[in-house]
Amino acid sequence: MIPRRPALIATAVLLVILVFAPQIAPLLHLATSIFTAVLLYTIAAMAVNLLIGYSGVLPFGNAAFFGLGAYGAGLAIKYFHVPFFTSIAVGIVASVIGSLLIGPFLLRRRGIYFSLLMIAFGQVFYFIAYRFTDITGGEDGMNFSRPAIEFTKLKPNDDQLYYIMLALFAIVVVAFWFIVRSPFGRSLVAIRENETRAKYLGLNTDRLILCALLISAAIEGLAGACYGLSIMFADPLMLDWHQSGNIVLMTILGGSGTVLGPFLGALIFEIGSDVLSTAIPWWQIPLGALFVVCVLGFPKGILGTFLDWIEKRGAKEASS
Amino acid sequence: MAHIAPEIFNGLILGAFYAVVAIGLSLIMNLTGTINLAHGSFMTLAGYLAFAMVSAGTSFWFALAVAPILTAIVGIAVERTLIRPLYRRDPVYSLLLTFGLSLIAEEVYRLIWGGNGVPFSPPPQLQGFVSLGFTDFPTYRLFIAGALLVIIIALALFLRRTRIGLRLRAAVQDHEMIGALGTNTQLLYMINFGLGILVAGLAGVLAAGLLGLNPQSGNALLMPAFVTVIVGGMGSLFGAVVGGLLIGVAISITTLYLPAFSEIAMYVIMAVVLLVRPRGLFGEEGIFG
Amino acid sequence: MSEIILEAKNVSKRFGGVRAVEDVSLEVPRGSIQAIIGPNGAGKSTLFNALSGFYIPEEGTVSFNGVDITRAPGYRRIVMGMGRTFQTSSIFPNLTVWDNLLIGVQSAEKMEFRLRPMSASKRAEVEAKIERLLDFVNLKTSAHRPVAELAHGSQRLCEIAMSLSTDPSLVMLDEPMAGLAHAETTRVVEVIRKLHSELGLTVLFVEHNMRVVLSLAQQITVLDRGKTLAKGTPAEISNNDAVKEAYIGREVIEHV
Repeated sequence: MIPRRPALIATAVLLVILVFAPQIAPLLHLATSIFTAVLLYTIAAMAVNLLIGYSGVLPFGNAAFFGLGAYGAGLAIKYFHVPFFTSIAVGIVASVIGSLLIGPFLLRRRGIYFSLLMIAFGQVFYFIAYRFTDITGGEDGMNFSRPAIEFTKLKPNDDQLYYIMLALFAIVVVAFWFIVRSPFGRSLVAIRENETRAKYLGLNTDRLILCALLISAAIEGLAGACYGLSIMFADPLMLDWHQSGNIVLMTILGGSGTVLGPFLGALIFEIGSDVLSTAIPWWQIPLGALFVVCVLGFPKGILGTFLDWIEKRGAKEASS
Repeated sequence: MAHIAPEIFNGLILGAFYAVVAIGLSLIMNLTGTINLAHGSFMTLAGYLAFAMVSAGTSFWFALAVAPILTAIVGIAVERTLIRPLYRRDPVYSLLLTFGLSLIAEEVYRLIWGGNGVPFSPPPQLQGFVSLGFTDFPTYRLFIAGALLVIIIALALFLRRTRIGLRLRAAVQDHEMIGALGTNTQLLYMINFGLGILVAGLAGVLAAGLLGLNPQSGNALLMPAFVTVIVGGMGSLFGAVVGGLLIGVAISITTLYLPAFSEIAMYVIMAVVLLVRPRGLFGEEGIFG
Repeated sequence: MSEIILEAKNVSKRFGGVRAVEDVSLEVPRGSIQAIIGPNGAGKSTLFNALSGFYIPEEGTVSFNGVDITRAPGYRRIVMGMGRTFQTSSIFPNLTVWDNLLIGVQSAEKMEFRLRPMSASKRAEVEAKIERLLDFVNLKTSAHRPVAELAHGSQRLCEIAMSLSTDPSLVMLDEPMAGLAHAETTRVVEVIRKLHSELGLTVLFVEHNMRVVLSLAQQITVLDRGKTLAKGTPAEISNNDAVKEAYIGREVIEHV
């Protein structure tokens, strides 16, 4: 597939960037938190990828889980003063509960109807966050402090947070890799390829998709909780479908169906939107244009198109 | 009881808006499987075009007639160039594309007309109040109620009585067959999209005078319209009307008694309907799952 | 174990105003090969789909091994021991033949929800089973090619192997000869014969190709316009005047 040398070099470069991000960031006039955001959005995009790339369902309402993670963590910190990792755990639990609540409704449908329902139910959480101003801070969002790590007095600063997130990121990548290669992962692919045939091989596809949804929600809740911890803030827009759109775009931009694709997508999107939004006030136009161009021009995402290009070059060289 | 009546009437008007927007969305969704997240943007476009025309001196009536047509032309251009390539592909792509378009549109409106919205008042003939016996009701709202009713009936007649309308309905049932019968499916899709946008445009111009006109005003109607489609049932125009009215009234009444929960009311209705009838009130089996 | 593996009693299925299947009863004895035939529009596919769980009949019952499955979802029926193929081969097009079979085998081992990788011994078991399936349909050489690349006949054989991968006791084949070239037909007929003679499975199939039907089936049920027209052995059916009339009136049978 990919020739050995370039792949190794690319991986090495990537590792260098990841490990030394807090040192590289200032050189690019960027805050470390941007790289943290990239990691977390990659995790979110991977969660979405599990559904789009592997199960074949369209989770265009997934931001609800991201936001539930952030609010779960934030509320736990603000009102119950839980420590660092516990807040993340609460965020994950909140997200999974959310998916259990709406999952049964979604399962009755597939395709665009599934998407439609997911968007609608996702918005329920948006409105809850928006309306219960006393508890959640409403439109202005909710500030909370970064708690100390369990059994210590250490409240991680941005750089330390980055390394904790990097570790979590590595764990999620490995877990994702395992899930995709497991019998469960294969079942999901079967559903994507031909759901009827999957059923007629004894697969309870509804339950399998629900499981995928739960796992996806858990991963996304993790990302959301960590993101809340990173910016010490949770607001309703994290739950909104615009956020869903951004995350789905990152998945597609990088290349769905691959493990590395979402990282590329998140990297380009985060850094791009950060740079653009400070540079031009009408940055939403290039952002929207990015959606359009990506959909029409790079259907397999940047990584996918790049891999195709390499394969074609390889085939040419082999035949010449 | 006298308190509730005007609220119910307001709710019906709001519901009629939802229904009309939902019908436009439905037309596009049913035939091609495209969830048009830019639908609200087209509504806003029609509103702004009408505003521009009226500011330039034309009458409200002229703007009401022409702005939706111009918007439909823009819609058809978008369908031909951007959306058509996506029909054969996974629906996620059209979702993303229309989403991107809505982002671009919102910013463009902001650049041209400012972020705070522009004033758009109904023409003098439609201002003021009409006495309905138990209450005085704004004339413009009565006009809107009538206009929306006309639009819905016209649509129903178009889809049931004209050749094109029947072909559109047949095509929803069976794409392959309609192609085999010699119908130009690409042309049909284009007309279908144009029709959906035309309806959105009309709603957009009417809404401008009632709900205000700013870069996001169309999007505010979009979510309730989606919920209306779900509640009424995919593939059913009648369901869109019933669902829209139901949701409109529910939101109005909830706003009166429990203002904090007014938007959630429509989601509660949606959840309840889905539990009892997963297909929606009048939904048809097998339309895109 | 009951003598009748699959039974339909007074099954009726309507679509809108059309009665596709009306009051049809059927008994499939364990270990037999039975065919359902009939001219176009007879309701064969509808009956087949009602038996396999694709449709739920309005009236009547379907039972498998004595258990009522009339409303059971499709996947349940597979778990209970049915297997089926479809008229247009229903496979996983982008996966290799091997992976196509793997899905069914891991389902039979109840591992479809498993997140941990298979243990080494289980893996060996699974691989051996897939090899046996490939052997049975003679697709060993194409094992690692995407199924979409194979010829129709090979795809059909892959699908039959898939229907076997879940260890069924009854295999239902929906027009297995549909869309096949003559040479491919022979291969598939042989495999179907082996399902019965070598594996001892019960086979129920719908088919238009009369030569195949007459050579393979022990029992034939003839449907016409949604109702049962005749039942009997190949010899009886070939000589049945009502059957001949039903066919001549509506279509030309393939007398290949």
